Amino acid sequence: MSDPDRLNEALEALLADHSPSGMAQELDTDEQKMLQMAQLLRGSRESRPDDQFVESLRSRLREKPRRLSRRSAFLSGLGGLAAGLAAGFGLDRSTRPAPYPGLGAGAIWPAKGKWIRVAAVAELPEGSVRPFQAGALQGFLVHQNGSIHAVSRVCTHMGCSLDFRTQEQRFVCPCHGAEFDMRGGFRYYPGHQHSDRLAPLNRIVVRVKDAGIEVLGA
Amino acid sequence: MQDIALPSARTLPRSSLVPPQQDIDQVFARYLDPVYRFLYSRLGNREDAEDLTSEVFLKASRQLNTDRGEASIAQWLFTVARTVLADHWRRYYRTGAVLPLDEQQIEDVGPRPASETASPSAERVQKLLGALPDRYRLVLELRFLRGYSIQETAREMGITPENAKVMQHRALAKAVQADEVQE
Repeated sequence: MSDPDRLNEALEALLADHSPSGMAQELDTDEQKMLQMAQLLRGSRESRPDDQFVESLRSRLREKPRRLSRRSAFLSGLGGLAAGLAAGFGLDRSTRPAPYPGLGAGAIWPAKGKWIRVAAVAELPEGSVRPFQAGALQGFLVHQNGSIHAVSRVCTHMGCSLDFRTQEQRFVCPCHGAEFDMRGGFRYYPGHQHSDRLAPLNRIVVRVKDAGIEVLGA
Repeated sequence: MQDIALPSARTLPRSSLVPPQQDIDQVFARYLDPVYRFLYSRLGNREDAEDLTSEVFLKASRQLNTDRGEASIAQWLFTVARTVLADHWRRYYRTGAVLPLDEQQIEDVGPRPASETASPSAERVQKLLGALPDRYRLVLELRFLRGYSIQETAREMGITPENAKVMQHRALAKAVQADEVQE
């Protein structure tokens, strides 16, 4: 069954620099090929990795050995370290403490999603952050380095609703104090080593249309 | 290629399979840019490109043998990138890799200096667009290369937004066909 609106939504997500892949599952084979073609066309433009992304990946790569050595304290010596590795400890996804597996797994693609206008572009000047509610979704709009994105307001630890702290430019959880950066990346959890990471905040798909900011909500 | 000297001999025995942090740092500094750009050239959006790039380097930080030569490190990284990309298509698209990867292209990307600006798929896309009728080429250029909205595209082409949407779909379908013929 072909549904041109579904494909259009996926194309709009792509053009807003968001992943259209979750939506691809709803498309038929021909539409998927067209979406992949659009991705190839879009990808032929010059693109450099975002500075913040580079920094956060660099620190993720650096944190890994510490996580390994903490775990290996239960085992003995270097043989234990190797055994831990072989058993799959220290693999990124298996060690996150997030209690709810659904939290923080990527972009949110509502099954019956619709675009919901949450602010005018003029209400979100460069450098600003603004909370919104779109049906069942609550999140923050962020206008940073010339582009707009949205992250979920739900902490990936226990599901509390995050606050934004202007001075530190961080999203902070009122329940246990977890902190996330402006792109939703996990930064800090009180009383724990950095090796205990929470999943990043879910992303919410956003687009700009007719001088308004719309999110894909439900 | 001389910019980073990866250590090839060690005075201390390896304590585990994990590559030393300093080697990972060097591999990251040297290859982040080409790997990201390779993945972006296929995925066309920052979110997917960042997710898959992270996957490649997290794998590298656990498994890459940095004792091998530079050429071999590049090859390893791009093999992983290609696998991660294939998994991505399989996970989300029933079609798998519809647009098959050109092996030669990957070989080209690896050793390229990060300063080089040409995107690896730019040439192929130009060839592809060149094979399309003018109006189809124009709608795809406006929408996907220049990022025009449907409204702007319609205005530029002197048609209604509804027609612009239809033309965009037809042009994409035609481009898929043209690409399949070229392969």
